[in-house]
Amino acid sequence: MSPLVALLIVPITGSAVAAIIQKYRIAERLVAFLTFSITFLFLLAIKSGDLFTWNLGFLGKNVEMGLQITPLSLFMLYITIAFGIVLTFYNLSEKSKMKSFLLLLTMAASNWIFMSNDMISFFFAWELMSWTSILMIFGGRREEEARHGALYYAMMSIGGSYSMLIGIFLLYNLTGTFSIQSNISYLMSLLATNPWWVLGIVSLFFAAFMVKSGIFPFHTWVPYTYGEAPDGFVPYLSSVMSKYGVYGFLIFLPLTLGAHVPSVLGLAWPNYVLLWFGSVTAVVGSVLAFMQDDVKKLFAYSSFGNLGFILAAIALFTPIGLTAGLFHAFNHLLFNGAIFITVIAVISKVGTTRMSEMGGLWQKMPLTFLTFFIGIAAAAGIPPFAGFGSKWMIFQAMISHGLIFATVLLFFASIASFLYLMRAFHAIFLGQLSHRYDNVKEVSSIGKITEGFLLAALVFFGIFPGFVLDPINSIVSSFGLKPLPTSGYEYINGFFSSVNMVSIFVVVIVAFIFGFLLFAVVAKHKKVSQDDNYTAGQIPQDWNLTPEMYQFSYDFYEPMDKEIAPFLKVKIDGFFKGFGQSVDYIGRAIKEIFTGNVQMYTYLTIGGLIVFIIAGWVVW
Amino acid sequence: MVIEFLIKLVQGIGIGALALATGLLFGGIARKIMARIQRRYGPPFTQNFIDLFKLFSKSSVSHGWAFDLGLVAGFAPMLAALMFLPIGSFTLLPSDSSLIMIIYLMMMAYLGMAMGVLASGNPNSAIGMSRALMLMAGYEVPFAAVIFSVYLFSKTGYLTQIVAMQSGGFMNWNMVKMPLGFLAVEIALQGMLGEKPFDQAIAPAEIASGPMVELGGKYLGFGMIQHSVGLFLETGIVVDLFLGGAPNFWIFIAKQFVLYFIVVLVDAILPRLRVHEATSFFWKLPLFLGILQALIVIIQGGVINV
Repeated sequence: MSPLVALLIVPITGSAVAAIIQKYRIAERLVAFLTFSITFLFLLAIKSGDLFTWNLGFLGKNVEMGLQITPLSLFMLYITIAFGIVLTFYNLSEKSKMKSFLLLLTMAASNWIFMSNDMISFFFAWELMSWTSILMIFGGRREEEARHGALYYAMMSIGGSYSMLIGIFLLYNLTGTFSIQSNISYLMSLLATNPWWVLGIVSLFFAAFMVKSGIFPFHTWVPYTYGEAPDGFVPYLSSVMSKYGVYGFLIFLPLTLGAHVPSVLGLAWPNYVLLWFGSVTAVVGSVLAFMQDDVKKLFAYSSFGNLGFILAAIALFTPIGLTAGLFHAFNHLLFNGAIFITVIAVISKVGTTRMSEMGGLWQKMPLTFLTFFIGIAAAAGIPPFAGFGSKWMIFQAMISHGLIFATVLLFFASIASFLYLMRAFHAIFLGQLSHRYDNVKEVSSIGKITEGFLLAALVFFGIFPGFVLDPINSIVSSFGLKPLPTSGYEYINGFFSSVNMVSIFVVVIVAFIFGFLLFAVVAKHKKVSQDDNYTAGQIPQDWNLTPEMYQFSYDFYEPMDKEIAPFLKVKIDGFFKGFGQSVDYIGRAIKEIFTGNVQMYTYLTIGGLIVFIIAGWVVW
Repeated sequence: MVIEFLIKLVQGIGIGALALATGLLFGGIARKIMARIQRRYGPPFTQNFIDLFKLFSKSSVSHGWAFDLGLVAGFAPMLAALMFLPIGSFTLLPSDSSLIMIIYLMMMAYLGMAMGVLASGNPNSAIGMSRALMLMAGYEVPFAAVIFSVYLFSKTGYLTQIVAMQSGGFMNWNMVKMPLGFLAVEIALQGMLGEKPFDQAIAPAEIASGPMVELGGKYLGFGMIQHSVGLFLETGIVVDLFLGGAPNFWIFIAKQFVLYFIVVLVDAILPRLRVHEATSFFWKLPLFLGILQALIVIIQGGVINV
């Protein structure tokens, strides 16, 4: 058996086993963990260039299907399966209603997406991934809302899929083959004569990818879905599943439109438009994030905001842009995974997702607190953690093109991300600890191992970015671009400057040691409780002060609302809702036909038959 | 290797001490200037040193390890960022003096400081922190626009090279070549240093000194050295970016002082804005100036096609 097939067979088998024993939570979770690990072992046997094909006889036609490994798919497979192992390991101790067999089916679909060589299996895998994740979301914490979230997601997914399906059949009509490679080369040859035609077909695919990554204006499903999905599944949704869109974009981006359509600042305008979609997504995600009180929704917004960064970078399709985008995809997977895993750990302990009801949890969950802290530091792009290098490269890629407006927007999004990260940090972990949480304990030892591992990974990939940049460089060269120069694992070579992360790390560590020494040698301190606090001379007992009252976290950025309010009036969500309502209205109107009158139905049937015959006659 | 490291270490401590002393001195002089504007005699200009010694020798209360860690983390990254800053003709680690890296290291200091003061559990510090962050969303945007125009103009991201490009007299300074950008940064600097009209985060007599409300003794001392080093760093970056760096340390701090003097004078005459007014102000005039500057640089041929 080819290891490529094993990457599909193993998860499907695991999924079947998990489905049979799904009553026993521990066993089911263990199966998920083992399946991910075994798949990873098979992955080790795979190298770039591997190929596996088979033929599918369908309606008398012979459709060639295949699996192929490119450097990009290998990279994606490694990072997603490795993250899956970490997540399923954490999930061994997690108690939400997540169904492992669905997770494993999603993994099979995900592997298939990254490996498929023809559009039929790509589409099939895409649908499998969508439907398993939709089913998963039905099992959310709050039944009613979860159903709503899942349906919203399903509708958007279906819309995207139809668009992609039309694109696939248009291409098939033109070329008579489903192979992705031949279709891309056909599109390339079409570029010189009909660039608009190519653009039209590619946009059909891009719509599907934009829906899946939550790119503006298709971002509206993300908060509903992430907010309601079962806790154990959210990290996978946000870290892994948002990357399918990135992979999809990268299939079509090598179509260099530059010479055939008008360009803006040396950038083909479709790329320029895509870049703006990315920048606007980053801003919309970051700004909406800092107005949320629900922690899962906050990080849902943050998640697609980061996808905006990635899209803006890869849309440039320059060596540094591509490197930066892929590097950020990896870093986002890592820090968002760490953030979401700590967040679901907290949610499982306090039983609420509302941040204004949390607070002061650092005293109870120190390791979770530290992991979250490093996670948000990485997400904010602070050196020497993972996340710095990619953001820094994205900015350089953008500036080098002179894209000042988009760059300033992205920088604003980056600052706004600092705002919402600090808000979540404060509201969850800092401030006053409510007496409700006096009995809250740190996560179990499985959770501790996971968190420790993620913490170490955030630091390690921050200091040695070369371990990620090396495979990315081979991806960049596989796209026919000249990769950035490499000089050792500790260097990030940007366009304007390069940095040695080890030296930065050493400087920061020495500075910290110096800080702690200074802290230790100067005068002594004594520890006081959180009640021992400045209250402007009032005696707290006189007015029944409780920790909850003395915690400021609700509406943290209230003054800012005034400034952003005009932009919030534009309701994308409202557009989709209105669309839904009109569909509903048309549906009702059609339903009016079905009056229950048999005579009416007969007329309709005969009329339909006549139309069918005439249509058939015309076509043949 | 070890010897080299030790030499760098000693030099680093020296730079830290010099920066701290300069920052404290600037603070003391600013108090004196402020007093004279208000027709008071004012404290001696060494008052900040005296205060720091007093604070470090008094016992204090702590709100737990996150509080302690946060205060140290508020100071250490500032110190680390200082090591990459070209001070006069001297840079400790010239090969890594990437400007955006320095700015993000400073953000780590803000993150650490925020963690410390918020761990104290006082709502006044939370309000102060929320204001500080909102203000940051304001001033960082025009500042970024100007930094990007400097990048495009100099075609490098190293501070050392940006300084080197401005050598050879006043007319080569970026201040002359990019006047609009310099103006935008001057306004942003007022916000960065948290001086009026942008002192909403501290807001004495309004939210009990905001972030500093629970700090006492050595904790306040750490806050003070963070502010002093931050003052040195922020004015130092502007000197390197726009005032052509300096041939030696003394001219460097003289230039820094000129910048700070303007900040103090503005501080003395303007009242405090409300925080959302301050934030939106930064998104209007300074951002307009910054973007205009960037456009001028781009039109002059700053675009690098890769």
